[in-house]
Amino acid sequence: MGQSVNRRVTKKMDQKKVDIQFTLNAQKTSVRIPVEMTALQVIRDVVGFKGSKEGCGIGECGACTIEVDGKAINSCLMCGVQLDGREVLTIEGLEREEGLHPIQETFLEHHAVQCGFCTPGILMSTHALLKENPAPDDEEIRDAVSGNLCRCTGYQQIFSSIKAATPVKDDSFFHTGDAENTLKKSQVFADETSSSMVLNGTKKGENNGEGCHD
Amino acid sequence: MTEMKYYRPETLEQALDFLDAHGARTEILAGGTDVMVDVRSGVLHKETLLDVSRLAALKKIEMTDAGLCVGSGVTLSEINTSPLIKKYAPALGKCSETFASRQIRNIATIGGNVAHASPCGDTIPPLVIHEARAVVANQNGVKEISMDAIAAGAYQSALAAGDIIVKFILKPREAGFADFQKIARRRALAISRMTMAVMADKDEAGKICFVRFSLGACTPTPHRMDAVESFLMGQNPTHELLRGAGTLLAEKMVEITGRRSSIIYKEPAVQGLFMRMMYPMVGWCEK
Repeated sequence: MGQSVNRRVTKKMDQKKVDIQFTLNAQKTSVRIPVEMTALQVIRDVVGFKGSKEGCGIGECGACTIEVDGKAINSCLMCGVQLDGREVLTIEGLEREEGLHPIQETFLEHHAVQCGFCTPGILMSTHALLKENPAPDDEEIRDAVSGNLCRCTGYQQIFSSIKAATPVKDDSFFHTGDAENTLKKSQVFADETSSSMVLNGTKKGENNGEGCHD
Repeated sequence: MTEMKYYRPETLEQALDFLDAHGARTEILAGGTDVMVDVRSGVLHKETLLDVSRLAALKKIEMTDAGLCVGSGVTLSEINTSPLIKKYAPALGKCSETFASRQIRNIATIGGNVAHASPCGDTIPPLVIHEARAVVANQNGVKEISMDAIAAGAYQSALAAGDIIVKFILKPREAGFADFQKIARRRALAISRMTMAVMADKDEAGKICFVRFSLGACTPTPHRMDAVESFLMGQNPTHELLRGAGTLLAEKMVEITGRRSSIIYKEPAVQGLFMRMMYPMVGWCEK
């Protein structure tokens, strides 16, 4: 099968492990991954960012929500290879150098976090909504987070938090995913043999998902 | 987990070449929202994932002489924001509002929804009422398949191993009344238990002069409900008429599926959902 494929395609095709490059939280990221891997597994298990959660693994709970090219998606339903060339924002990229993101602040103020498992996904759905629509009405807010389950809060606090963050007037509210902006550049690269990640000289085990700013 | 290979063609021709050689051992990957669930649970046993998600040839929504063309790679979110769909296929637009969740709508494609051949594919009843034809390409050329022939059975697509759905051609219609309704366990995300799509127009006397109706999820393959359509045609859409049509619809559904254990629920539910959807038409003859 390999011959007919390689004839036409120059790179990374017809391989059981695939090299992909994408921008993750404004950092250029290269990894070598198996084809079966979901985008969530790439982010959690290969890169080592544990903020995005796996709840159901079949796209029902939204705990794995990330932004790809500015759109909220379920990372458990996306083939990891499809991240290639994309701009990806996870919960780890939401925080700024000066502190928490404004939506994170309103979630705290309005007690929208209890066990916290759903929170990263809901924040990413919220961020994607407000980027697309800085002044959503009540129905639009409900629709945007209706793909995210929360078993603690009863949703009212989450709704109030999002409401409190709107309307968004300041463009700096949003991460563009542009590798040159808020975050300092740092090279992330994968060790091809072990697929363990090294991040600015920090082993992935030492990186709890917040160290990406350093 | 079996080790799979990955191939992302640059053009539709490359994709068709690849399928011609390896079709039987290849799974086509578009949005991945169905495929990745099967990969993860280990029920998908294919050698290669053929990623068609970046093929520009599959991503257009346009009006042509043949009709309203919706590319198979168009996402549900793109359908939801398309002015052409809103105007000429409003029931499909309505369906895209409630399809799964925002996250899934952002990557799931209409072609994937149809090719997966799930009886409860939400996009199918709206496509059926627009008498859509799937334009299917393979190495030998292009063919058109009607919506009632595209599924061979529940979860069994009628597509052959070398086939790719390129687009759907819908008969456009700015219908006076169009709607899509569904019943599922929760509003977002849950698999539809029952879906229906309708479009209709009235004449000057307020009588129904055009109607297309399709029931989804309750039957193994897509159906346009001809009996319900003829029952409504030429009539004033009164409360009594709609009630009669709802009863007829339930009868027809049972004819197709037989009396299964869920019928105790489904029979009144299909009538109730039909009434809810069609009721705005009652006002027609009073105005």
